[in-house]
Amino acid sequence: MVSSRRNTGGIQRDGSLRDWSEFVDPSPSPKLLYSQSYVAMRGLLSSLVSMDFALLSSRLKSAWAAILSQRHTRSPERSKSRGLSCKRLAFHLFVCFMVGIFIGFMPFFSVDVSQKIVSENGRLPFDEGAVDRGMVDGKVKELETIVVEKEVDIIDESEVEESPPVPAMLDDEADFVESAPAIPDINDLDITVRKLLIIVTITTVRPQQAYYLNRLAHVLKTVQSPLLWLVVEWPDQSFQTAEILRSSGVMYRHLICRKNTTSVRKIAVCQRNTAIYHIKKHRLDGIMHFADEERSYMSDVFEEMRKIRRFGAWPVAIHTGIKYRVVLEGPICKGNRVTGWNTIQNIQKKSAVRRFPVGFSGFAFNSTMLWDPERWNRPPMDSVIVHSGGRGGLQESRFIEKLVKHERQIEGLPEDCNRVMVWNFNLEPPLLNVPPGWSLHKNLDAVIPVT
Amino acid sequence: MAMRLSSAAVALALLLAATALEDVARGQDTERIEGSAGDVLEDDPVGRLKVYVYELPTKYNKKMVAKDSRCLSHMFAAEIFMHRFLLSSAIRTLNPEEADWFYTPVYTTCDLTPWGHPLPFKSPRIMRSAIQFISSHWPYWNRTDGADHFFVVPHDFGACFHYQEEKAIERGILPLLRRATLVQTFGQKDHVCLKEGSITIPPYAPPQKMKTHLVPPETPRSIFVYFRGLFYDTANDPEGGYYARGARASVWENFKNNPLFDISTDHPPTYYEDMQRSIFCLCPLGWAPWSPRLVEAVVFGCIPVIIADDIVLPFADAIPWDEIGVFVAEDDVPKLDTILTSIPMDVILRKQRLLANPSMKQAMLFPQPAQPGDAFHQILNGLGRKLPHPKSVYLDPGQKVLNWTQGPVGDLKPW
Repeated sequence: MVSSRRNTGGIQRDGSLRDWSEFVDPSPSPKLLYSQSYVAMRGLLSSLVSMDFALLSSRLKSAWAAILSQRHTRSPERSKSRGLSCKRLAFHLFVCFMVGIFIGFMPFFSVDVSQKIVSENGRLPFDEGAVDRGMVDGKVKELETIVVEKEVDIIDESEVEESPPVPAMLDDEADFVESAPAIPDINDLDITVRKLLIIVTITTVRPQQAYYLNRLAHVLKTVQSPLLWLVVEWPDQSFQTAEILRSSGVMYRHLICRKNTTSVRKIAVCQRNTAIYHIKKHRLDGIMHFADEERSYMSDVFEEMRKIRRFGAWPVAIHTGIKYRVVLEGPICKGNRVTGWNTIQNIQKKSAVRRFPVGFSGFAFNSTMLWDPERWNRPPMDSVIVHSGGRGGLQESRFIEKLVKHERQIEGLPEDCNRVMVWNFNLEPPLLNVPPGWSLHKNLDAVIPVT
Repeated sequence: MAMRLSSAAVALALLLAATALEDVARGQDTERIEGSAGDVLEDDPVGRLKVYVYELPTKYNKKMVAKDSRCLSHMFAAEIFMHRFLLSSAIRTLNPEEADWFYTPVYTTCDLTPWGHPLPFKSPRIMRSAIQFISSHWPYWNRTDGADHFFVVPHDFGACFHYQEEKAIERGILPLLRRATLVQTFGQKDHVCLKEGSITIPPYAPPQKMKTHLVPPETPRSIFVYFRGLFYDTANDPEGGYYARGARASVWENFKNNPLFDISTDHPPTYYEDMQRSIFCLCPLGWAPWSPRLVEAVVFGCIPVIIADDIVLPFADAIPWDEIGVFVAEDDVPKLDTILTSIPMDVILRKQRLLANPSMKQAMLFPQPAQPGDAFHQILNGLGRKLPHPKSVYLDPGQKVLNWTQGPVGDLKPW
């Protein structure tokens, strides 16, 4: 929320007019407002769970947050750049937003809650209709975003009297107001301390383990401290893993998930959740990233992660198809603002469209989101864990949806997302014939004997 | 906010310290303390004292082990291994007339509950029965009322024979043992369960098992502070505050979120290995001030952080605990992070070098078979330093000091 406030504030401040002019046509707004209300009503009546509403409400929240950030302005730079007219605009926006909130939020809110419950059960959090709107297209997003904010602007005050008051919203508002003082705190922390990195790696004993785990350990060793490496193994603490970790010199904790299953997928989920529970239990405060051992990292990416306030994503180079085509997956950015996505997914195949097309190796987030929902205005009972459902990246996307609702809450890294720092090349041979533990207790027959 | 900031600053300091330490914490060099303390560890007790081992019916010792061999591996097992050691030791004498010390091989903590817990409810009766036996079969007990006898009483509160401090204090040292020299793990200054002249020994930690978990000494110490064990004993102290006098709870509440504090209740299979990659190992009090962590920390070269006010440490007259360990007052636990990070690097390195000294480790262990300088030998050295006995220990013929009917009625029942 913090970053989104800042970012949206930025949009309104400077680049806004120039950028907006190419998208915004003031006339369609009322129409859109109508259609949204209509959809909202339908959603309310049928109790259909729609991603759509969650997104919209979060957009409104973001707009609200943007306004708030202007009210609670601290940065002298910012106040200089914004003139009196901005303040007036802010006030105007605020008044209009309050109006809009009463009209629009009742259905949004109720749907929001049911959406939460359903996704908690691990079912698809959106239906077909929602996917249409959640289409991964930066420009469409941008347009919608702006329209929503505009919409706030044009709502007539007379409409307020007609809409019933919505007491439930008061809680939400209070959340925003209360959280405002937390901003300097988090920002200042960034200045004074190098942020803790919490790197989660899941592993199991297999022939390639030594290759991958050693490689990752060497990268992590070069990262500036503080870095805490949570290595989660299944099903036991093995000698092999312990030995690799011990020699690494990285500050690590060797955790175990004992789940009795053979499903690789469920094992991985259990391992990731073991790390999440550990962070929750210990209330670790840092930037958390799932660094799978097969990935290849430039150590710069870890320094970039430290800049993350809420949630950060970056482009990852991956292989696709049998032809080993290299493609990029991840955000397209202007500065740190995400303006779109690179993805390999087939947009035609609606069922598989991901809200956030990022794999586990492409994002990191503030770990306090896991155990301090208040700080992030997240629902207090909504626990963030990885669910086993969802193929083709849907699993990651759903996990991310728990943490962020909108691209504005995502910080693109590095600046302009212009560098690939992580590679996800799946070159693993299907079967390796190697000595157990890579130790050569018995000499192999010499290929070239010394005579 | 200010609080958060300051805690962040502290965290930063901690992390910087840890990184720096990590690089230099490879100390393989050892260091000896010149002069008094360190050298005492290498004393050879042979020729300094002679010990007579009473022959007791096997129900006092061997049969108890045969009944439940689990008492060979719990942390009170020193009483059994001490007996076995003495039987084959060069200081043993078969002639009681020339003995300086008399040893009664009675395994009072080997009477385990069905769940394997060594609860000392019958210990007073077993001990009383054994003393009755030796005093009626040999003249030596009555000569001094036990003043030249020593007993190994390794239970939580030694010869007070109760696992709860309050009850232990209420009971006091078993009346029959009030003139004897007690060899015990319990040690706390000005405590009714530690009488003057007792020898405080390390608890038993399995030496063979520890040896199999050794990792190369050049293994980087990547943990700053390590602890595994209970923070709250909800079963015996449901309301909290009694267990560890709240010190362990304070460790958890204050430092669970500190990435440098690797603390948990889980006991991992790599427990011993993890201690070898830690710089500091917390040794807070539990129900008793001591725990096997003291031994483990020294053996694995991890600087023991002793959190137990007024603790009397094992062989404190021979092991320079002040120089190898760090003492933190129970009330200062909330400041543990700053205390540990403000220790200068060279001090830490010196402590590590001292810990690397094999004689320090040896003195903490009860190996089978015994080795020069091990804990058995330290006990004998301790007994040897008490010689010769002052003339006052010998009673006039017919003189009685001990009151055989003193103590709770339950303890007087025959065993």
